[in-house]
Amino acid sequence: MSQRIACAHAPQLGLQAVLRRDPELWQARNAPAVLASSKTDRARVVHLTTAARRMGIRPGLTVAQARSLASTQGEALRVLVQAEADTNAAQAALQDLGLAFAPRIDTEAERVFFEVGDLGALYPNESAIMEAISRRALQLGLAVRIGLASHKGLARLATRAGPRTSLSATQNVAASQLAGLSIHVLLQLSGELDEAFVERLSRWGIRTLGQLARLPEAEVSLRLGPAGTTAHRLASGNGEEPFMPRPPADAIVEATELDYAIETLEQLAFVLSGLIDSAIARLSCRGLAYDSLTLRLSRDPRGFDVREVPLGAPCRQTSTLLELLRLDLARRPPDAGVTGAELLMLPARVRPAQLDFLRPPGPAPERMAATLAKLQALVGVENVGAPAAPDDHREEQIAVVPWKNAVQAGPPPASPDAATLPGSIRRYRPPQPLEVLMGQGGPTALRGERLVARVMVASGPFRASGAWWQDEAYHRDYWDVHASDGAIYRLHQNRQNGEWFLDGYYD
Amino acid sequence: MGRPMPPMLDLTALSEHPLMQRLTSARAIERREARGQLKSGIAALDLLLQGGWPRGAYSELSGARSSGRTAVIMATLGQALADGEAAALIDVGGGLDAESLRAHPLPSLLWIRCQPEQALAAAALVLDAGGFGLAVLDAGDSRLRMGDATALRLKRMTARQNTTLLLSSSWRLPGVHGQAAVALSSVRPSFEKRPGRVRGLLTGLQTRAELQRIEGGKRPAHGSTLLSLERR
Repeated sequence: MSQRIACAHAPQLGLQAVLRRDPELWQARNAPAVLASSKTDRARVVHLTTAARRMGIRPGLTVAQARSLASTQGEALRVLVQAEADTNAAQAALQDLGLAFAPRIDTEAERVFFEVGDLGALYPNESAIMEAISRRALQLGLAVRIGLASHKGLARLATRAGPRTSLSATQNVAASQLAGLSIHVLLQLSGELDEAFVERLSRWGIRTLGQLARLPEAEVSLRLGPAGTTAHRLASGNGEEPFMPRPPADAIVEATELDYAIETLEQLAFVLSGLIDSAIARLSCRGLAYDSLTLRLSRDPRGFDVREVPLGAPCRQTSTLLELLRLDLARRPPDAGVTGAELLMLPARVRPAQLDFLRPPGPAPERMAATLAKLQALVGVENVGAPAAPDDHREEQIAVVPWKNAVQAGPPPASPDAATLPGSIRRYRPPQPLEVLMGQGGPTALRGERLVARVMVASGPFRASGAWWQDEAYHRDYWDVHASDGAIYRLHQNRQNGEWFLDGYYD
Repeated sequence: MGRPMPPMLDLTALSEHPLMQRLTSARAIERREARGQLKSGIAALDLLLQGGWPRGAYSELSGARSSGRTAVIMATLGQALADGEAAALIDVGGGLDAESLRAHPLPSLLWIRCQPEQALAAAALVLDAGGFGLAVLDAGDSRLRMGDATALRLKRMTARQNTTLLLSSSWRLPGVHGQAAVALSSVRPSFEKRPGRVRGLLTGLQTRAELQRIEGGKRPAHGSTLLSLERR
């Protein structure tokens, strides 16, 4: 199978990065807009939309000049400000686009390369592959031009030929496909192919790649140096260039910088929702879920507010994650306005479940992960898990450990006979304060928030003490009492201060 | 001379016949067998429930303090986990006792501590996840309020997922008709005998389990049984 390299080029990535962050801007991406380094009139235009270009605006003009050109044509011009965080996230998203189709990618600014030669089994032809790449890019909020060729250099050149171009694997055929293209497509393809080089070719009367390819390579190299050799080879359909795979970033980072500080949780939730959507779209490219989540908020005027949101299991649902973040923010609101947000997710695989022939199937792992996250969002992270007995003699202590979705069958608890079962105590956590009337033989009456009763039978005291080497030392006298309401209560008196507490009832 | 007419079947008399108390319609048996039952881990209670808690439906367990609800819940959870079922306990107030866990650890149990107003939402989430053989909602002392719409929704969810949902509270839920309803009432505790008014250790207590309702089955002639709770 011949090698086929795809190149996805996201032109004006800085502008796309800002547009993808805001759904409203993304919808209006065909309107006149420019991207500048700042909002001041003297700032330079870096990128611009096609509509703005039609108005005569070019990169390098000042914002004031661009506004003037727009106003003379009676059009409104939107000025967007470049944000490094957005650009980095968009560049990372472009890498994830490559990882959605191939395990290895090669990257450069605004471009990602990946091998698609073995995708023939999944797609009927190369047009379908390019269509799929384009569709996936739009899901990530990126508009890309796609080139397919047998070499990396040619794939890069193919992106200049049209929105979706496939060049033949045969060198001569590829050269003939390129022959009609203007030599200006070579501009900036590599460092040496600059404006001066293209101008020089134009002065020689070379207008197309076909004309360049017909010149003898040795003579072009002699007169134009390495740039000439590179250009001639590309024009001849030979773009051999090493494909150097790069490992994907471990974490998914989505960030945004805000124009002004926001104070309310509703506004912040809206911003976070966009970040989460982008991050989840990127995770789905890799077929992964998120395992851990860190949110870093930039505080106004300086400083950061960093929060880690624990998750029960890998999950990939936006609503669940947003709810967890919303709860965390509601529990501990930021103490200052927020001027930026960065979301860092660690990807993890959703573990597949191995079913057992003889046991009932348990919950599906991915669905259960989402359920755990929803439960945590509902009742709090610390209240969902598996119960465990801690190494502590205080009766009310209990631990919650992470729940594992692996049911292990075993022998049932032994029961002495058909109608006998081990009793248990239902605890009040924390123990409830209680007023106790003491008689000669122990408690005689109880009054508390949950009960008012006479004591019919009292059993005790059973003394317990511990942790005397710590601040939370305890010295208690426990009693079991059969109260007039029919219940058997467990209560204790703190021997340090004489206070009584209701621990629970036998049930 | 024709043959004598057979005597007319007196349906009214038949319906009052003691035998009818032991008969079950074929459709009800079919429905019950299709879904099966989940053993409670207490043989006497399983006998009362005619096999165990019905699957794909919710059942009610009611009883005052010290009536043994927690013990029945723990026995049912233990049995379900031992059978390889996934089980969840939605515990209002988080009253689970660590001492019970030391005796019988339940590492596979999904334990959700919650407030009364969160309990039904948590139960719905567990049911919606699917794959759980048993979900127990233990309301503890708090009063669980469930409207008709919620009851219907839970009924459909349990049927779809074939999960046994056990609603445990101090009182039977008004207007809610689970497939089975068992009421527990404490009979008497037993203490070690000692001279004087102060007794020795609590050794156990007895409770009566009464089957108040079972859909698709007939209430047995003796609709209650005595259970003994032993102190660990």
